[in-house]
Amino acid sequence: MLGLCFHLGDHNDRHAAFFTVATWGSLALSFGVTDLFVITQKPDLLEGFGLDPARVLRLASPHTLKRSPEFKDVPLVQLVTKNHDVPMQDLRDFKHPEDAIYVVGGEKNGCPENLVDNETSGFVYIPTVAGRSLWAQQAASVVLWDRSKKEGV
Amino acid sequence: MSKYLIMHDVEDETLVHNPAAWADIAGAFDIAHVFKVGGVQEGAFVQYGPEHSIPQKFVCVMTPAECQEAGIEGSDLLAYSHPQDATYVFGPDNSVRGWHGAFAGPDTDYVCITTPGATELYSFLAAGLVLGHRWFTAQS
Repeated sequence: MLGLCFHLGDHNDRHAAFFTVATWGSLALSFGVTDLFVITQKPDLLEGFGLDPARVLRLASPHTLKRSPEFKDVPLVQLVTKNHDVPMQDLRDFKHPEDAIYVVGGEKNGCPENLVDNETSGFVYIPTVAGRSLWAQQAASVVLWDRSKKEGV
Repeated sequence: MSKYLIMHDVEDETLVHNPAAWADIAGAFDIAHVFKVGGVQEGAFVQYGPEHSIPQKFVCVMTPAECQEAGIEGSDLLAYSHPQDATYVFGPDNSVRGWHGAFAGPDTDYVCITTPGATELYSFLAAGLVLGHRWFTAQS
């Protein structure tokens, strides 16, 4: 399986939330993501977007993903900025797991609010000028494209 | 050495048109200038005009379907060797749609982005792939 977990962010209105979800959804479809997870404190914002909760959208946090029997054995690949104190790998050298859930942080902190332990997870950073961070969606697309090319797709 | 990026033909304001996303991707991957052609003026974009001197080596970013539609044989991004000094051209969102008649010429390069899925990438995401690839290959 290929999962992608993102933060919905601090949207207070459905209009902004819709565009965020639509962009993530488009990104997921572009890269063949099978499961799209949304971390949000406001799930009601997502109602009526026409997404199929059973196939595309699940509400989660990184920790609940690891606690879920369905996904507990799936490696989490967490995208981080280089200034985090975790054993991270350069994307260019990273070997993507066959099954994986990629966890992307919110726009403001550039990293999942609560990083999951690294026992079954990997931390990956994208090298940039002076370690500058990317928008979460841009970071996700760079990593998923890297995965697809390393798989020869 | 100057590096440039152009986004063109953005006509409305949505989250994915946010100038900050373009500014951030440019800063992260060593792009000196972001221009915008057409559409409304917003945020940090500089509206491109004849007063600007930019490299006339254009790199238009497209999907394979767009290359086929335009009858252009584009280069796959993975194998593409980036020019030292160039103007990268990206189109409006819902598509990378980088081809534009104003930038067509004998020296124009056309780069295709292939993804496993059926949908096209938003242009601000395509920019991350192209400029990231450029930066990574320049560093290696």
